[in-house]
Amino acid sequence: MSFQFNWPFSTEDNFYPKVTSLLTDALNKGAKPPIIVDDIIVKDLNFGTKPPELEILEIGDLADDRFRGVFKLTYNGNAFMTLQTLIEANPLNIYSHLTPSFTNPKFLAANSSLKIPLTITLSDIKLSGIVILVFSKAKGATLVFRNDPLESIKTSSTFDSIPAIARLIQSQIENQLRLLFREELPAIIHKLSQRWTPNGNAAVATNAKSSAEKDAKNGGSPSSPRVKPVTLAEVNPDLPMLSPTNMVQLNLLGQAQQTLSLHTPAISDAICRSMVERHNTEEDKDDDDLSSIIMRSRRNIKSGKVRRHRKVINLRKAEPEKEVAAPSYSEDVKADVAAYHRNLIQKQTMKS
Amino acid sequence: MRSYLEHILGSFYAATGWNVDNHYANLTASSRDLLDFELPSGFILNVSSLPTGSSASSGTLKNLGGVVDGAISYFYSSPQNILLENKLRSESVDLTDFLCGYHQLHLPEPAEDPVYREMWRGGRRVDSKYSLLYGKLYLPGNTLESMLIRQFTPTDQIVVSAVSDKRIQNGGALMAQLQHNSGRWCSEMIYSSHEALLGFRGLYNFSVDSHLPELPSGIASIPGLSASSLLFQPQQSWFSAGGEIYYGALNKAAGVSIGLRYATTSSLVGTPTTTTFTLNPVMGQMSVAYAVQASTSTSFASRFDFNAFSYESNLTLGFELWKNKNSRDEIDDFIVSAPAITDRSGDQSEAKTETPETLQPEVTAEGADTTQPISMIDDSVWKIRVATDSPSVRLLWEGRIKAFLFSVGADISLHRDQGMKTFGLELQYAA
Repeated sequence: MSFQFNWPFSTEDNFYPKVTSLLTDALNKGAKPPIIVDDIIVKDLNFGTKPPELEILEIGDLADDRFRGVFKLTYNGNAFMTLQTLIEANPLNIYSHLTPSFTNPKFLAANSSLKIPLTITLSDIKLSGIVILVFSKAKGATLVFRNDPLESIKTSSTFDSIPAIARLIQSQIENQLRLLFREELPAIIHKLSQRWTPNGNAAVATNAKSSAEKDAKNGGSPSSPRVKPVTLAEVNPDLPMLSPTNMVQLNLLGQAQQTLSLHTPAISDAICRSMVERHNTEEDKDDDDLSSIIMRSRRNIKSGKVRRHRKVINLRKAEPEKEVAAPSYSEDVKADVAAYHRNLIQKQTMKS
Repeated sequence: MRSYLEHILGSFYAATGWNVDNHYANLTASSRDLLDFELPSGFILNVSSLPTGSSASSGTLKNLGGVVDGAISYFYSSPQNILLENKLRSESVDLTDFLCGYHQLHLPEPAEDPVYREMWRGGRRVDSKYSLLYGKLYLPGNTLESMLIRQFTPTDQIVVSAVSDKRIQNGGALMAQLQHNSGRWCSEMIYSSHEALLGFRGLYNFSVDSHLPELPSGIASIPGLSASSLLFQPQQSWFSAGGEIYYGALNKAAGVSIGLRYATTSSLVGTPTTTTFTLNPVMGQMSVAYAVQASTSTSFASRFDFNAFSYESNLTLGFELWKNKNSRDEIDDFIVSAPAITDRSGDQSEAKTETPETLQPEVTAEGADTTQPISMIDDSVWKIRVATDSPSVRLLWEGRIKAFLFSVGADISLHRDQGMKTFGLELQYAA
């Protein structure tokens, strides 16, 4: 089986400006190091002439309108990108931002800032990594990197004559790019692929129309599209919502609390918190002990459903019906026990 | 508004005779107080007390966007004959000094002879060096700040400040400053453990005497005549020059700057003005500032920054207005006689229900010697600042209402759709 790439995909007129604006937003999203004092703007972007090479490792799902697979992606082409930003040239200025304020010697003018424009060209990008590629006609396409794909990159900037600064810029840019590949690229490609899905086309059309209207209102100020976060279910819709192994472990854990056994099954990378029912939202309405009443009312006031008012809580209530024959405990313990039993019954019915 | 730490530090320096204006870091203090005033962010409540003359404590509660922070701090000064003064008590407040008005610079005086600090008892020397200890604990965040000031002689002192916080690399940082301050020359050597920064700062005042002038021979035999009473014309203006140089050993950072200042004092002769010029030759940054106290209730300041390499420039203008509610009545009362004034102002305060007004006449025994005008207690101050590099106006109102010091600040943007960027309120109470 082979792939035919239509590379570079410049079929749309609006493609390069849209990618440029998406990439600019992605680069400026996180916290910038104090040496970069201005937004990072993508000035020039070119996808080159050589397409990436995909090697199939595993195909998970193949149908008329759906496609999912695990691939090995290598790229050795001649794509390049030019970025423009302002950097701070006074190292004492960066020092005064990083040092704790109480032990900051009060510089008078030695920490004045000097901003220098910087232009970087990234070229000779070598990528090699394992990627999960999902395409669905209804939802669009996206890809997620399993590992860090960036092998090497060549940066040339206006500071090439000063090797120390050039090395510093190289390391900072590489870090930003690695972050970009792991976190922002799936969302960007998903957003870009919306144009090929029937729903996506309509969404893109309405987006373009509304953004054009907004531009006309604002007098021409461009508004870049917000990138919607992508969930794992959208990437891989065939995996079940709940993992069977986890459910078995949870059942064992729940059952372990019924006996006095000292062995508790452990779930890796998870924290076990007992009395979770107290914070369970559907069953909160039945809890009538003081702490959950207070928590519930605070939550309601915070979410704006109820205005802050004086509430009288009558602690003396009639005895509820005894669902389980038990010795006389206090009210809140009884409510806890009842809730726990209800939860357990629910779990049993879900399992069966 | 100054924090309680700065207030206690000012009181300690005044009690030990240390001139803070002589430091190179305070070269532009007058224009900085008028142009770079800080706005409170969120809601801050500060309650402090000075139970004895040697110890003080203060608690702060902050609410910023739903996040509540708090801090408690303690001060201790030794020996017992150094009395810290709490100027914030409602009976004796000099708001002009505390609310960072135009900072009146005083002519640097020669330091006292170290002989006067010795205490002898039974043939043995029992005095201890003047020192101040300070600690502050931020409660939810577990950050601890501490400071120690120790004066070896009236002209030498060391300031060690440290902060401990797990978010800082190596768990914390420490900074030590060794300062030498005589009337004419003030130098500081600085070491900071964050990036191992070494620094040196120096300031020299021209035409200022480090020692008391000597009497010419022949006049010394007349009893009761001293050198100070011969100086009928106290110096009205002086010129200072200074510089600083830093080197960071770990991050190979270096910086240098030089500064010049020409200050005039005494509103009896003209308006007090301060002109400063600072230059960073490596980065090419020049800054000229001019601050003037136009009358007892208004001050103006302006500053122009210019960078010779990047051609960036910035003009900042600041204005301050003191609102004096009962100035007219009290001027007439004062002319009558000095003791009668306190009774009069006491009656007036009972008549008013909103703001108790007190007047503290600064009449000393030698009334003619003081070059300062009689200070009037002003009720509140408005500060406003505009700059060309930011499209917003900074407004601050500070005042005293019923023994609480209020500070309300807002940053209002001049763009039509942006509105108020920050708004804050700070309350301070000191017993």
